Amino acid sequence: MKAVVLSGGEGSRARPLTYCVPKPLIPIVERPIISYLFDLLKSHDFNEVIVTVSYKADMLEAHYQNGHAHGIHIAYSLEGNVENGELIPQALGSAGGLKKVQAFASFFDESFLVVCGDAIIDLDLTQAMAFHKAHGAIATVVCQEIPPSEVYRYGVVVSDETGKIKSFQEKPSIKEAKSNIINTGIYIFEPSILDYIPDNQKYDIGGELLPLLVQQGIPFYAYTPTFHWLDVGTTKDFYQANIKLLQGQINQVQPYGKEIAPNIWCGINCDIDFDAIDITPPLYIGNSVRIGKGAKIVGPTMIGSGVLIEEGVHLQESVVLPHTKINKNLHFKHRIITQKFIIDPDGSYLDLKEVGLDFLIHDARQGRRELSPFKREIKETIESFHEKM
Amino acid sequence: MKIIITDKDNQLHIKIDTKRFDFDRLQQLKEIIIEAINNQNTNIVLDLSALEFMDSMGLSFIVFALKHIHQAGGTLRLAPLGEQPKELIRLIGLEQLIDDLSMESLMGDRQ
Repeated sequence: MKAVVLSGGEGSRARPLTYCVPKPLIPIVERPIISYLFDLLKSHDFNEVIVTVSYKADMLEAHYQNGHAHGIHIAYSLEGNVENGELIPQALGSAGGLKKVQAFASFFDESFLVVCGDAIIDLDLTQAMAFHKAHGAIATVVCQEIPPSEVYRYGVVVSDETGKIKSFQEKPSIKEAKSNIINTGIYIFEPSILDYIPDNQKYDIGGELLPLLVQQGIPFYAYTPTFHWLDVGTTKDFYQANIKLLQGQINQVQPYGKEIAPNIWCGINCDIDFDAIDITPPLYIGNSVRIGKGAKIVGPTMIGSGVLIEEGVHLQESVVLPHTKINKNLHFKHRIITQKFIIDPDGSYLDLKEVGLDFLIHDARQGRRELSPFKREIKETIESFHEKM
Repeated sequence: MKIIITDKDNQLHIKIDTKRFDFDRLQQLKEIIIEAINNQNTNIVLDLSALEFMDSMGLSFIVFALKHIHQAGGTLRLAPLGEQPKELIRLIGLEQLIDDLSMESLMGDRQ
């Protein structure tokens, strides 16, 4: 079967993580978000997949190539142009991207699935497809029931008792929301849907195409199964996805690596004396990680491959991305830590180089640098304050 | 960078009126602290409220002042900081530093 994975977005709400990689490549416990999706597609026989790409398109193509590593066929549809050897992104919107795919070689010749490349889901796609075929409509919108207090973040779907969609509300206030069923951005379409999408222009599925179908009285349905849907739109979502995965809250998804003790996964080639550190699960440790004596790590915590944690470091409920070095005696709780940034999952972040504190946390592969007296003084003060925490 | 020093009620108030620290003036600022201590003015309020962007230099100045004033048996208090300096200190894990030095905690001490 055929599927389209929408991956052209710039991921501005997930900055600074998306400064370096496109959102689908952001790792959740060391695997890119989109890899989980490719596994799911394969397990439900979606083996012809087109990925729409734009922002940092080359990175996605280089990573997945033709899909051989995942056992599916992957092709790419670029939304943008290459000018003077430089890729200029020009996103077409979710519907506009489908139209471009079809214009190239009429790829859509049967019912097809559309999913976003920045969510981890455990939806039974086979059942979703069966629902779509049983209703015989041009479109099926996969929905989810959420607590009424959260509707203001999403597109709300209003349907009748048969599931036929009557109207939409975009991010309504809690008071104004007519339902607590929301659009997850997962769709099944018939190829004839493309007749409703204008050529060569930016066009959105949720905001334009589906309301057009309602307006024209064309029947289509909401499918509202129970499943996990972790939309990784923001740094907070990224943090929570890592935590939930470590806590075993996503069906059929386990951290990759050897479970050396209950809920403690550890990679290969690590330099860790487990008798000399204090750890509380759940904890994931990647490959080639070094942790110094006296370190204390309280889960859920994710430590990426190539990370160096010096003596006396305390980490609690944190996510440390690969090749980050954390200098000795520093203490962090509820943080995302990368080679360049300390990020509060709730939004703010510190660019360590910009504020001249990149001697505390930096790339683990960087050579040793002599600290100036004033930097040494800052380091010692921070260490002494952290020790009191 | 404008430096305004006022001495009132046995408390030295040092206001550094700048949006961003200037490395060339860092030494001068440190000397002001040392001179105050030498003159037995060890009850100091540091007002960096005009600071819009703080980096390691600003942090090092606070650390320098704290260290020397404490060594002299004195008290350092910080006037409320702007958004970015406060975020820097919070994200680096020094919330306690702000709590310990804030004017609010000084008022708490007096009550």
